[in-house]
Amino acid sequence: MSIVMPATAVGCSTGDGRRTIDVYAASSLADMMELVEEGYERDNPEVDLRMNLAGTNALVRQVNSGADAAILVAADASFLEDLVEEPIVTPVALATNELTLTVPADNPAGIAGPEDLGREGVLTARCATGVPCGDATDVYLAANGFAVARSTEEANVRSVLAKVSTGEVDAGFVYRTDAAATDTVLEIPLADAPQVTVTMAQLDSSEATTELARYLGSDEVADLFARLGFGPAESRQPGIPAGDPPGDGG
Amino acid sequence: MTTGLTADMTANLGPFSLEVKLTTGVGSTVAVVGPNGSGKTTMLHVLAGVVPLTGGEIVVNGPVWDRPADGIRLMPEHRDVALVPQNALLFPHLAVIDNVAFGLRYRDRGLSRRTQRKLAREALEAAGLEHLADRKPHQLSGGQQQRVAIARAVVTRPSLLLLDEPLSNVDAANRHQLRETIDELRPPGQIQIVVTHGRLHASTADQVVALDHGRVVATGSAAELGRQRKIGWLRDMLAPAD
Amino acid sequence: MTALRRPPTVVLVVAGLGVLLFLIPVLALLGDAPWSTLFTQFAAPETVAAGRVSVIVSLAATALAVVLGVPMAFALANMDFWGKPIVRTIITVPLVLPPVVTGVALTSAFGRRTLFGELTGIGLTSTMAGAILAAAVVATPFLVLTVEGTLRSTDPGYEQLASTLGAPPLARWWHISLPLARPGVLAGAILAWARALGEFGATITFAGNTEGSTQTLPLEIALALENPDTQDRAVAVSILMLIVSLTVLITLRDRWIPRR
Repeated sequence: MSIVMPATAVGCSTGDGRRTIDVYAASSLADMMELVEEGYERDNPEVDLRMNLAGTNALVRQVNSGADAAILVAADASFLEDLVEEPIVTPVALATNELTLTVPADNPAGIAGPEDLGREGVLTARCATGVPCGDATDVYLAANGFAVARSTEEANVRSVLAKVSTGEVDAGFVYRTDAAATDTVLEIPLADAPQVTVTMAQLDSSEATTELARYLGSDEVADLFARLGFGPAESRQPGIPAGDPPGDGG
Repeated sequence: MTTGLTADMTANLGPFSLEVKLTTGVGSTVAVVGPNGSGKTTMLHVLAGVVPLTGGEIVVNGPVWDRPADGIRLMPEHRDVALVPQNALLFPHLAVIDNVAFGLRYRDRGLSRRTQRKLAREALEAAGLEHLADRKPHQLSGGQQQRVAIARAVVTRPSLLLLDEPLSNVDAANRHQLRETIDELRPPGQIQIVVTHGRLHASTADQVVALDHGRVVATGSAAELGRQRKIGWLRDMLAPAD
Repeated sequence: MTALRRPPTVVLVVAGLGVLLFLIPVLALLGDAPWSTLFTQFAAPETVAAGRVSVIVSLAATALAVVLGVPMAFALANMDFWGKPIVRTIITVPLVLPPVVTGVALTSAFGRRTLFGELTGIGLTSTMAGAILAAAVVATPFLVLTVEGTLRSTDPGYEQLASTLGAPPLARWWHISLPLARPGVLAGAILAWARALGEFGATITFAGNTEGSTQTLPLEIALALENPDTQDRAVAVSILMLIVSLTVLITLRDRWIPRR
């Protein structure tokens, strides 16, 4: 017999009696969240983590229009300001990531650095403005005065990576972790690359969600982040997100 | 060169088969009669080349039009023929005058566009429809459409003119004029094969062929067939009125 | 006669529910509209650029669909040939396939890293030609199926008769078959245009999203939705598309498609 619970994210039980927790995470965290799901469900067999991966801005929009997310892991802290409802506890910075430039493995356009993107005929893929990686790209290009000859604007970082790795574009701005995850692209590190801060917001106060939030903030998860190439959060204590949120236009 | 039409036609259309022999001289008129489904229309389609022969041959004024044994089959556009179908089948998107001029464009390539229009207009006049030249077919009555279809066929002056119940939709007052039109535009030597239900048309034919179930059941003059005793429907159709 | 053909009340009630399913989202969209700034949003440079791309791409894709689709429809409707079921299935694949997959397939065929791309030097990625091709591929099946339906209900007697009047095959096709198929071609072209105008998935996957060359109105809407600052524009442009497509569909339907 199943227990009738209030209609929150942790309220549903699956057919086999496991408790479902809805986790919304930025698509740049896809690989990371797979490891999290594996690790947490192994240690807590009674829990089923249900992942919803999309651009952070899309996730925020879903939550604002009433989606029952228990935890939201944003690609950057700045986007959590758009949440209509205040998170239960102050958002926690989990890790940092950095914008980088990638080219197809054979670098057909001979790109040596961001200054080459303005060359005629060079096609660059980037995230659209409004998406965390897109805002970071805007900040970087403006701050360094680089021009882009021709660009295709993608809805999330994964599509940018796909276009670079299939060679459909000459270069693309992604996160360092994305570049590290595949050998179909070459990374061209950027000086003064903007950082984003992966940040977690807890949206419901149930014990199960609190338990999961504690796990996400644990050293074990921090090691996973490090293993995938994320930088450490400057402050892993609950409090102010680390780094300068690049989305603030500065 | 042999003149006239010699046809020994075997055609299979699914369950229906046609086996008809027909010979007629230059300039003659053959009336074809028979109950519904006897194969009259199919025979016209075979002669026109729309339906292929499966056996036998069709020879008209020398050239072989169809002889499957030798792999010869002239397509309709290469036969010196014209057809007036039972339901007129005017091209709905073309004005009446353009319907009538349609065949002239291909049958007589030497004609200028202007001459084509002039000949078409004359044929329409002969059919008493010159005032409808610029109408679209759907604006015409059934009888008028039938008359345009006749003008469209006869204006090309083919050696073989096939008419499928050409007067069925035409009222009595116009029938006479239409028969005159057909005769007026008939070039010397034209063979006409007319499928008909009416005694009038049959009685003026040189030869009447009666079909049933795809076979010839009687052939002769209208008078002869009106006198015979074997086939009731044929006698009823052709016996002289008292 | 018409009174006897009136569907039973139960059927009409279900039909009414069906209409609501379409009507409610449209009304809700209108309710969300930023009415006070609507025209400022329409005049945004991104919208003007995307509108221009949409007009060119959707019309060119429709032209391509007509030129390629009409012959295909004739072959499918009026001929029996080996492999016909396979050909028909292949043509209708873009109807069932997610457009994104169509985009991936097009990339494999005409992307930069293909023989085609090597030969042309750039491939069709991020070019307007690529956007046109993507829209044409997803739109053509609608035209083929519509035209094929019209052709099947056309009396073959007209073409036969034209042949007995001496018209050779090409002249018959041009002067008789094609004009007779006109209502179907127009209806198919309108459907294809509507599909091309709304095309999103194949375009963004294959042709990318480059302002001024491949960013059509649907792509602009999707992109504007990503940014809280431009969400009003997304709704405004959606309403623009709604107005344009409804106007065109209603006008053309009455003018070009004869009622049966």
